[in-house]
Amino acid sequence: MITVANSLLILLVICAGLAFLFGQGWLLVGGLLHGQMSTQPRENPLLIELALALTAGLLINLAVVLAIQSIKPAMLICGLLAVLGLARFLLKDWRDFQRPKPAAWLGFLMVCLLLLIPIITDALNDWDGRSIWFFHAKMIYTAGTTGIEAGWKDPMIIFSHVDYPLMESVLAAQVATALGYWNEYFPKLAIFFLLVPAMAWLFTFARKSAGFAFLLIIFPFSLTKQTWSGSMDVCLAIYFSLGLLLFGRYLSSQKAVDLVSSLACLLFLTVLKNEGLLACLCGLAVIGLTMLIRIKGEFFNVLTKINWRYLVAGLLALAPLVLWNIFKARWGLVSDYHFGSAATFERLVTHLNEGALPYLLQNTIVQIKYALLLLALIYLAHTLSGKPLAQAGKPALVTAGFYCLAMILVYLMTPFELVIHVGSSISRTMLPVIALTCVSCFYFLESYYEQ
Amino acid sequence: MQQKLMQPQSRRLVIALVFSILWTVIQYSSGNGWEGIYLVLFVLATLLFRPVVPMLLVFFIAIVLLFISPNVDTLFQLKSAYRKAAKSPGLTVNEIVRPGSGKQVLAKQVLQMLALIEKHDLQEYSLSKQIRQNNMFIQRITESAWPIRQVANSPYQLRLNTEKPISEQCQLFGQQEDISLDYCR
Repeated sequence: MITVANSLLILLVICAGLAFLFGQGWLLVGGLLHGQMSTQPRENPLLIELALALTAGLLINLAVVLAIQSIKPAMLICGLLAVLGLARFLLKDWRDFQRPKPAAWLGFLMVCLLLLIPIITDALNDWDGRSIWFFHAKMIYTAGTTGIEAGWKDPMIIFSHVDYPLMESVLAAQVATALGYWNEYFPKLAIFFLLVPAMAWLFTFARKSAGFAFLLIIFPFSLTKQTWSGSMDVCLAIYFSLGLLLFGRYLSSQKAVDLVSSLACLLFLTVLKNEGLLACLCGLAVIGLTMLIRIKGEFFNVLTKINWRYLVAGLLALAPLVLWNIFKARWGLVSDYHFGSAATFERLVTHLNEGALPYLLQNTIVQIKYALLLLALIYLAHTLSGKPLAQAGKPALVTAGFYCLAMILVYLMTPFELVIHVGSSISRTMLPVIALTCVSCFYFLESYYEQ
Repeated sequence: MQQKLMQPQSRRLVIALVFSILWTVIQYSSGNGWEGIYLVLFVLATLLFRPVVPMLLVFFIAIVLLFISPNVDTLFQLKSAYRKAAKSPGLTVNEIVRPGSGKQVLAKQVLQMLALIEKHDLQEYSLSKQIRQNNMFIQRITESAWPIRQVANSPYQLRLNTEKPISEQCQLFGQQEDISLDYCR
């Protein structure tokens, strides 16, 4: 009897959490997409708008919590927004979608369930999860605030990288606040809430093809156990690669919802990890370059014609990043990398003189080996058969290259012992490069078998 | 016209050849013989079995996904997580919901430190010199005991049983198998 009650409690928290995020997101997404972008209703599948709404909801939730700082009042306000958003959806917008594809929805639900079990049954053990993301969550939960009272300035917690973004930590703290207690299982639902929109976007590509089967194997299985351990590196890799996956589809579909989704994924990166800002900039630069090459002289005309509502939405998406950086500056929370100082350049020169670059390149190749091998196989197959490579796959490959080079530069400027720093982190920091390369492979595979 | 049409194809062939050679050299020098000749094997296979190149591509990709990527390891870890949950699902569900559960992942000594802190209802604590030499202990006790904080000059000091108290004025306040708690005025 108790087990049944506890099972129902877990289910209730999951459903309530998803509704809480969806409702908040729908206030923004519903208003933007219905009547503004779609001149014909029923153009977009519900799955893609679900993903957009959940992602927007995550950003709005974080922005409200950071702005108000006190967790309980912020949750009440977010709850009110969620109710308004859900009311709008149920009363007005739920009819304006394409007929759902049962196979895509079933696949999406099955993958979510597949990930839920290890997330919630595996106690927090991974270092990053315990000592950074969920430790910050515990600090926020016990203090009831994201403010300085949470203990960010405590000298004993320097190991915990207190300057890191708070997306996962705030979600976990909210789960604990809703329950009224902390343990090493339940707050991990924050990982699940972060992965659901990503899986929804993934299943908008669902069809009977070798390419989609390849995508399903890569996300999430090729990204290791860290998918459910609490580390944010996998989330970063997934959203980064989804951004370029959706942009690749936009290049052929020319559907605005794909471009909006791509940009949403990239902006979302800025609140996941500090590297997220670098990843977002790499992605945006490649998207901008690609559009510039395709549209050429019309590029700036197109820019000026963008609906102002999307610009406002884009700026709102940056609100959590801006707010957190303001607070960090006010409280004196700095990154232990100390980038921007004169010492940064000195470290770069020192490491180059010590021969660090070949060491870094070798370690990088070891990490991304299987992705390079997949790419080489597909490239060889195209070359030997004389088929052209799909244009949709090229932006992801270029982005992978940019990001890889940027991360090598970061390692060259590290203030820590290089060998230790590389050894303890490169398996995680190269996950986005692997994921992006696999996105390219997906498009090349699709075009190879279609031609 | 035919020459112009050939150029992109020739360029791609050159890129493919250069990459394959570089790949083979790098993998051989790293001691990964099989991975070094993998691309060469693929090229030979496609030349020998031209009509079935699409199937060959799937086969070679499958080998990479099974034996070189972490997919199989992840699947085993997933299987292990499901087995653990399926062994006693009721216990698992109740454990997920129980306040304060999940601490079994901590090291034995950290659990003992936590037990002493909780038993004596401490509001702060400090760590002995030997405990402070172990980064894992410091980090684990800091985050698992929170919001009870580590304070450098706290009179309540946790030490290993193999260590002596920091001064003669310290009184033994509590003890576990490996850890002692002293009150030092």
